[in-house]
Amino acid sequence: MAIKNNNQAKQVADTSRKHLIFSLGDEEFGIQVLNIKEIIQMQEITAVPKTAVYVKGVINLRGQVIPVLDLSARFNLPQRQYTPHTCIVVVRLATSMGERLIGAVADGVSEVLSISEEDIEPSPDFGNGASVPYLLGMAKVRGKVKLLLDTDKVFYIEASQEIN
Amino acid sequence: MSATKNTAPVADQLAARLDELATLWMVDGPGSLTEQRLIQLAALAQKDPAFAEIAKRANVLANDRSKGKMIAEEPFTAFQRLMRGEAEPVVQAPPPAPAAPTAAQTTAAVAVEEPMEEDEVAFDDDPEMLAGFVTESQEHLAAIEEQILALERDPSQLPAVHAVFRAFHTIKGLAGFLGLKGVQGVAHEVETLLDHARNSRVQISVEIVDLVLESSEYLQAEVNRINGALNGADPGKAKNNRALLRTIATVTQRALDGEPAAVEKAAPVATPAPAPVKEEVPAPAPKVEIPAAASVAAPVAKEEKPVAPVVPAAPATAAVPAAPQVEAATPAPEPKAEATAVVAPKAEATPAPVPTQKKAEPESAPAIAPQAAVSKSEPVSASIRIDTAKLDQLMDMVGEMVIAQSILSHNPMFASNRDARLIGDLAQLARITGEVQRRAMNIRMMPIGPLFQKNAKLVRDLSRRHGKQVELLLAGEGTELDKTIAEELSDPLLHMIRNALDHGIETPQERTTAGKNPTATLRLSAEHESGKIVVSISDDGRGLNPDKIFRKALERGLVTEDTQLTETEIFQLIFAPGFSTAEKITDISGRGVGMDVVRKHVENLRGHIQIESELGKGTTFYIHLPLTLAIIEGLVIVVGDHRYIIPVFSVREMLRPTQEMLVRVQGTEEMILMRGNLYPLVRLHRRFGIKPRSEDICQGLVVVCEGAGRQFCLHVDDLLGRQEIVIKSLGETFSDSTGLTGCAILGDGRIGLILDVVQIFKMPNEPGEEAA
Repeated sequence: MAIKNNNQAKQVADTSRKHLIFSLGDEEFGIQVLNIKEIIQMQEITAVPKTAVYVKGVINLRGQVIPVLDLSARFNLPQRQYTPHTCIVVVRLATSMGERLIGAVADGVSEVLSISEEDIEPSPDFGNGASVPYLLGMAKVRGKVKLLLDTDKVFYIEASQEIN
Repeated sequence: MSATKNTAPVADQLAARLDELATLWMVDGPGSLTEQRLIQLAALAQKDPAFAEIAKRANVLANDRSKGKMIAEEPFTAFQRLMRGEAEPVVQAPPPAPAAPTAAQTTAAVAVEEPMEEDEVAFDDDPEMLAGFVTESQEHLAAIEEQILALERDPSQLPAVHAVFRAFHTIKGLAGFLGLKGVQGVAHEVETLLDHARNSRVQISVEIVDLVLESSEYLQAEVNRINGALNGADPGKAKNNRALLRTIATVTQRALDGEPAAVEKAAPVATPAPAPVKEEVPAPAPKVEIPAAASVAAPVAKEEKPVAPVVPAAPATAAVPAAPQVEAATPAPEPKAEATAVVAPKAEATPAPVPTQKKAEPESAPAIAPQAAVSKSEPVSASIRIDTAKLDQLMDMVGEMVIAQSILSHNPMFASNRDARLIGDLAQLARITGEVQRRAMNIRMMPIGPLFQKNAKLVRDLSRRHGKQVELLLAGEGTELDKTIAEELSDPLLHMIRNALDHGIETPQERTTAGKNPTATLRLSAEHESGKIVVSISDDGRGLNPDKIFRKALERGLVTEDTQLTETEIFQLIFAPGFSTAEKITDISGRGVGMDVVRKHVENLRGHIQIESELGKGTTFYIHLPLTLAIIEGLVIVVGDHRYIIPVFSVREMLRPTQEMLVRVQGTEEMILMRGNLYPLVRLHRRFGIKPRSEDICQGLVVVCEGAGRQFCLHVDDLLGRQEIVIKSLGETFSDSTGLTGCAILGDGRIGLILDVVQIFKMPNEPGEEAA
């Protein structure tokens, strides 16, 4: 019994180490697989007026209306053309109202990586005092750096009044 | 102590039943089975002198009760202690239990408030059962109100008495099961009273009707309190029901004695602080027993906890096996005499008191299970209870299915298909999905009847209070409408009925002078009319006076002297905020807040109100409502690359404007001149900050929108069509985005945003998008 529990705990630890790697422009980002509901192909997004620039709009996910964010706009990356690789990563967010789904446009999804604790470095300090928001840390995998996102912060949509 | 030991076998034998009885005593309120208990005590006393003391005291108290006072639990608790071998049956309570108070302590306690038995319900334990209790009780309470009002009109209707009796009985059973003692106590007393009524021992009088209604109000308040607690509110304390219990007991007694219904019914019975209630009972020292009851109630309630849930079923079981003991007890001369003394007052009304009691008990108190089963199977339509969230999910999916079906049938592959069989199959699918949708929508529908009934009581109370004679007529109670609409309609309806009673209907004198029947008629009706529901509130009162309304509106600055208005438009003025025609402000209406709130409510339901009135003849308000809130008809419009939906109910008309119709005001503001009226022009793309196809209004269309009593023109690029849509929420992410009420999935699977025209009118243009 204890062994089984250990195994389970190990599995959970393994799963929580797994990250989905997706790209936005030249940069690669990672989100814990546990937080991801699904990846869907790009579809037409209905824009909602009077919302923040990084809010692309809403989509119909099998009858459920969910908001979609443009992370490039959020990270001030240049806008790019949609390609056949462009997709929407649907993320689960735990809120006080229960689970909520929210989508993010990604230029492409490459792989699922298991990233161990020792490979993760804390958010960088650029020396100007401002820490980088949204980042949980940086992972070095095979000589390349992936930015691990804090989903709760990245997918938090500020009230539109604050934008204005 | 020796006595305790000696009695051990007897005690063991009887312990269980006495425990049960003690619980009953606590639960059922003093009064039920008293005789049997006393007799049982007497039997015990005979066998063992240790009990004699308790028996004697119990009898003294029982005597007091027969004089109209309530009996205390005190002797019984003492007895229980004895059973547990704690002490001699002396009034020396063990430390944890508060000592049975002395008279001095008692009077002090009573001065504040007579305490009642505490509920022992645990809100965390069984929310589902409590929720079930709430829904079921509400149904029964509604039934009670309906039936008792019918009874008032015709007191000879025995079936109605039975129905009310059964409803109270079921509530009592449920409450007992859950340990809601306040509710159970009241329900029990009313049940007793009604039991007499249904056995024709008591005539239903106005007083009794009032009392039953008052009791049902108490129960309603308690049910609401529990409901609130379930929804996270502070459960608070059960309202004190002592005064109410006493009134019921008094009325019952008086009715049994055949006295004419006296009016000296305690007025503040239902009020939370019944301390100043005048003693209707000629009790010499009534205060002793009540606090005793309470002080005892607390500890015992705790100890009895495991037993309590079984209690409701107990009366039957306890009463029957107790009966043989009555005979056994007869040799005991002294207690027996006392026991009969208890029954004596009833003997006046009923020739054979004890048999009656026996007959009534098994009938009125069968185990709840069968009773519940009976009341379940009784309604004509069998029903099940479903969580509305589940229903909404089903409704959502059905909506999706309908859309998917429409996407499929519009697929060009199929459209160009000549295969007769495929066309037939698709048509069949369309038919079935349509039917499924219709049925699914129907699930949410409920008849409007209960809503009307709810107001019947209000009409009765208000007309009495204002010395007006009103007959309430109901029509179309079977008309079905969406549950949400029915719930939301409740307040506006209430307001309008109050208004009709307060302002519309004259006093009997005024009516006689005007040559009318002194009894006014108030008519509530509901009917389907071209895919909508029309609820009308019609009175034959004094009618609306257009001149007076206009003058009032002038005073209030709502219109100017030279405003030209039709009669209909003048009537609509009464819905303006701050308008009130009542010469004096009364406690039921006339603060001028009512009607504009009414209109807001109705508009929130996507409905509108129409007034017809003739001076001196009466007024009729028609509330037009949609059948359901889940589906609306929408106009799909285009602005630039975006599609939006405008609900059809907020659209008056649409037209392609000409350059001459455009009027510029102060350079920036624009208006549209149409048939001599000027309407403000709102360009949707400027409000939303999006790129239109053309800035030239002649290239686009103008939609005349209406909302919150205001009309304006909305400029859009094009109209795509009109379609039925299932409204979906945009979710909390966009909860503050102004100008939108939600979204819908359109025929091609994409999302269309639904515009809130009122908000759009009020919101500012996007910066940088001001008119060029």
